Amino acid sequence: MKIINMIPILAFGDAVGNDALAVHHCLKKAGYDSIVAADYVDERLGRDIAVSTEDLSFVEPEDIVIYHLSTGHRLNSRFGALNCRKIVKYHNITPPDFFFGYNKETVKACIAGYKEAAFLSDKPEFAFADSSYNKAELRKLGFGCDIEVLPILIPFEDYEKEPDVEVLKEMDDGCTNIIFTGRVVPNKRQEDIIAAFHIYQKYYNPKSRLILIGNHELIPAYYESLKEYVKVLGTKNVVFAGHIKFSAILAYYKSADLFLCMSDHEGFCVPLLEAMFFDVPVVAKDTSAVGETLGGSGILLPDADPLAAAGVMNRLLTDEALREKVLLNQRERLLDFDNGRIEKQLLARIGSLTGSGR
Amino acid sequence: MQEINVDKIMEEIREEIREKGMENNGPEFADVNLSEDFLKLPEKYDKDMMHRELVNLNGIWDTSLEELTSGNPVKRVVKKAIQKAVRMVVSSHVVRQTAFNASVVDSINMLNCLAKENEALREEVEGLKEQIGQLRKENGYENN
Repeated sequence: MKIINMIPILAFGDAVGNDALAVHHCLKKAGYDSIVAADYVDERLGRDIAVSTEDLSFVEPEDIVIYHLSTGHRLNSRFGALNCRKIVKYHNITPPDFFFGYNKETVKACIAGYKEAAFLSDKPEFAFADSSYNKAELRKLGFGCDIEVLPILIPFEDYEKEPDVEVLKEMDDGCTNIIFTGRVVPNKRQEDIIAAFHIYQKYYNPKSRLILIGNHELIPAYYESLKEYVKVLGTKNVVFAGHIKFSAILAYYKSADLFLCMSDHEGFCVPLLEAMFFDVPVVAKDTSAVGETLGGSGILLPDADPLAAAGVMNRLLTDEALREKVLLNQRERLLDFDNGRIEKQLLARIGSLTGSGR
Repeated sequence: MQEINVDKIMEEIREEIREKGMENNGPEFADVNLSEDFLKLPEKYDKDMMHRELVNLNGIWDTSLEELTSGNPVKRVVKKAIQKAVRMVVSSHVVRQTAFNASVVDSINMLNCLAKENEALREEVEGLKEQIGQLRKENGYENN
C-alpha cells in the first residue's frame, strides 16, 4: 500500500505545495511508503521530488491518495475516477468574482474548481480541511464524508535558517518596516494595504516603509494598477519585493515592525503564523479564515477603513504595553500550530484509516 | 490570552481621527484600476435590457439540427449525407443542449415575471407609504 500526496501544481514557495510535501515527509518519517505526484513541478524544486501524473497507472486499488484541492484542474476529475482509496485535503478555491475584469483564464479555473469540487463530493472516504472555514465550504459543496480540521504543516525549523545579510542591512536604516506576504492577487487586497500605509505615513510616521512580498507576475493588470495607485497617492517607500529567495523573506520578517493583512479571502493564511513566529505584531482585517487562524491574537479590524487601520498600526507601534500583550497572545496561539502536534493528529487519522496504528 | 479591548481602542482611534481632522480624500484605487469590463456583473436591474435579451433568447434557444430544404440538388444530397453522419455522433448532445436551453429560457422568463410582480408590489408599497404619511399628517402626528 502506498500513500500518494497528489497535487495538480507543485509550485515553488507555495503554501499548498509546501503542505503536500510536509504531509509526505511526515508519513515517510512514520514508515509509510509515501510518494508525491503532480501534474506540474516547478524546476526549482528538483525533478525527482514528484512522480508525474501524466500516466496514473502507478496508482493501485489498495493505495491511498491524499488529494490537495485548491484550484480548477483536469487532474481533479482524473483523481475522482481513480480506483483506490481517496482522501481530499481542501485548501480552498478562491471565488472567481475576485478575478472578474483581470484574467479570464483564472476566472475559468476558479469556476471549474468549484464544479470539479462538487463532482468530487461523493468520492473520498474522508477529508481534511485546513480550517473550520474550509470545512464549512466543503459541506456547502456537498461533501458528506467525515471532515477533520487539520491545519497546514509549517516547517518552522526552516525559519531558523540564515537570513539574507544584504536585505537586513538595507532594512536597518531607522525606517519603520510594515510588511505583508502573499501573492499579488485581487483577493489579497494589496490596494487596501497601500491605502492604510499611505495614511500611516502621511499622518503618523513619514519615516516608514511598506514591503509587499509575493509573486506579482500572476495578474499583470492588478500589479500595474497597484503601482499606478502608489504613484497617484504619492506614497513613498513602497517596495514590491516579488517572488524572492527564502533567505530574503526571512530577512524581511526579521526587519519587520508590523504585519498588515487586508485580505478579503483566505482559507488559512500561513503568513499570519510566519509573522507570529518572528514576533511581528499582526493587524488584520477580519474576513474568511483570518480570525480563526489568529485565534484571538493579533488585532482584528472590522473593515478596510484606511484611517482606522493606520490608527491601529500607530497605536501598536507606539504603545509598548499593548504591543507586549499582542505578542504574548501571538506566542500562545502559535503553540496550537506546533508541527509535532499536527503531525500526531495526521498520523492518528491515517493510522485509523489504514489500521496500522503508527 | 491577554485581554485586549479592541472596541475601546477603535473608539479612541476614531475620536483621534475626528479631533485631528484626519481625512482619507486621496484618489481611490478604482480610479486607477486597469481591470477590463469583461465579466463585470451589472449592479442595477435594467428593464429594457431584460426585455431585449428575453426577446433574443426566446428566438434562438432551439439548437436542433435543421433539415436542408433548398439549394442545388446535388449539393443537397452531399450535404445531407454529411449531416446524417454528423447527426449520428452529435444528435444526443444536441438534444440535451436544446433541452437545457429550453429550461434556462423558461426559467429566465419566469424570473422576468417575478421581476414584474416585484415592481408592481414595490409601487403598491410606495403608494401605501404615501397614504400613511398623509393620514399621519391629517391626524397631527409628527413627520418622522
